[in-house]
Amino acid sequence: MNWETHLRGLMLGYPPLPESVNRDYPAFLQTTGGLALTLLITFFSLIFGGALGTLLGLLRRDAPKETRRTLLRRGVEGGARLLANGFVEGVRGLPIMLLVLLCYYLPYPVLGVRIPPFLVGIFAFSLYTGVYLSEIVRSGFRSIDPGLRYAGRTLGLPPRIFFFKVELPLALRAMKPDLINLAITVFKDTSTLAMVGVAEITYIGRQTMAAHPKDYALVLGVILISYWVPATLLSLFASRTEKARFKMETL
Amino acid sequence: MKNWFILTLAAVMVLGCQPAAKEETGSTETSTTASHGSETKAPSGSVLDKVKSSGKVLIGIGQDAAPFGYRDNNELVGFEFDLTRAMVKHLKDYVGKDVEIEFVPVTDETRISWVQSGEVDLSACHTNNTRKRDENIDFSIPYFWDGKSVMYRVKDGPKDLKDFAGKTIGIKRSSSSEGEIKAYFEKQGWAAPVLKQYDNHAAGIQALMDGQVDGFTDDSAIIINTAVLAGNKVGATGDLVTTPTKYSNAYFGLGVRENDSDWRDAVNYALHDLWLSGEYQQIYEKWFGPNSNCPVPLGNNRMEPFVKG
Repeated sequence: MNWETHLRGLMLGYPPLPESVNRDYPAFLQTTGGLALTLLITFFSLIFGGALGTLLGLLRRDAPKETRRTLLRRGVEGGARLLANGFVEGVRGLPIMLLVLLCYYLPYPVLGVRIPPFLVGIFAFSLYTGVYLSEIVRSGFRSIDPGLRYAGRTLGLPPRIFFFKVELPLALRAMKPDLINLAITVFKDTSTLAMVGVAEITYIGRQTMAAHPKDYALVLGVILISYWVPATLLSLFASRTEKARFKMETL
Repeated sequence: MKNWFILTLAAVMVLGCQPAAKEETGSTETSTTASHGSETKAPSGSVLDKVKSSGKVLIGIGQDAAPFGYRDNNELVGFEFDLTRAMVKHLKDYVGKDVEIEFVPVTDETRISWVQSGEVDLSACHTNNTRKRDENIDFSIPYFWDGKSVMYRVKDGPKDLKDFAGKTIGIKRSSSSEGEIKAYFEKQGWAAPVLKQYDNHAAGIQALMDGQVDGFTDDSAIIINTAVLAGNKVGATGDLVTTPTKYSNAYFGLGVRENDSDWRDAVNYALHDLWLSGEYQQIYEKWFGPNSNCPVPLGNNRMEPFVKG
């Protein structure tokens, strides 16, 4: 009957009260909700998590060691790698729900900072993305034949050029299916944020179902489609580009 | 090899002295959160001083219990929203300047603990004043008076509390009803009811309609309103009705920080002024008057000071 209001709420969220907006943070993130917020949180998490994960992955990658390294450089590299390992193992061992709860409940008692729910979401999922991405990056670089490096050196390619022109494109190609997979996983797992009151689509759905118990089937159906369509589109897009590349290679 | 090992250890120790590994590597996120200005930890002084200096009062507010705070056709409305908005206007006289509201959503799990930690200055979340809760926070004077009864299906025939001895009753999670109904039944010498917990009132009412439980209990005003909003008719001639006897009285109070009488006084005085100005009665009429979903006569309940001046 009032499916139009339901649909609007599920896609864009409900307009918040003016008094509910925390002035210290950008308003558009607080006035957006529903599927739009789910997509926004996924987007920001992939950006920040992407930077974090690339950094962690590069620190942790097991590339053949340069022979002529100063002692200081060896020490710094080893220390950074240990830290990155500790961080990845520390976060990877936590279920995502616990990670979300920690990010929600800890900032105030520990740091004295009040963080609005949407930032909790971006923060938790950036960590999550970063940690899993670091493993993908690491395995991407592992897939490269060490012989290539010797070949590069024999040809006299400077290490930087070798990295950007040979190693990185090959590693990216190997990582691609996993990257798409990670993006889809993050997109779907943001539903965990409903637990801590982030107004993303699952949360809005639960609120709508609580207020209008008779429309629960409709609401669930809309949520189902909202998750399924973007996820499937993304994987379709990925497999299409995969196929194109595969054809080119086999020609 | 040995040199390498020693140098690594040294590097680890130097880096280990940095605040934490998390901050080190998570710098992309921490910088975004820090750049938008952060509030400092609740000062040890009175909340009143904090409100004075920031000009803002953080009100923890419930959003899933009609008619106190709930979503009605996309909009957050409720008795507590109206009450706190009107109260904060009177708070000006005791703070010394205009005060802005910031509503922070709280749940039944966080409505006490966030007042305790200072995350909110005031909590308005249909909270019954109980001695157990008073150990952790303080309460303002009561702003709503109700009792707890059990709601049941009209088609099961007329019932009172004693008919629920040994029966299954649904309750809301984190509600004080659990202890109160058990204590009441024990005192009466009746078989203890089997209590089944639900996440929210709407789910409990739905369970009652579906026949999963024999009754559902909480503050009468909340269960009646939730049932009405879910499309049920409440009353002897409708679908659902509440027992005539109430097993507990409920006094709703605003939660304020423990042992902070400056702040509690300011809140109480603002509530007094709300009553004296007649605004309270208007708001009460809107939500609990004869034409509301759930009329609750005000009776002899008062929110005025014994002596003002």
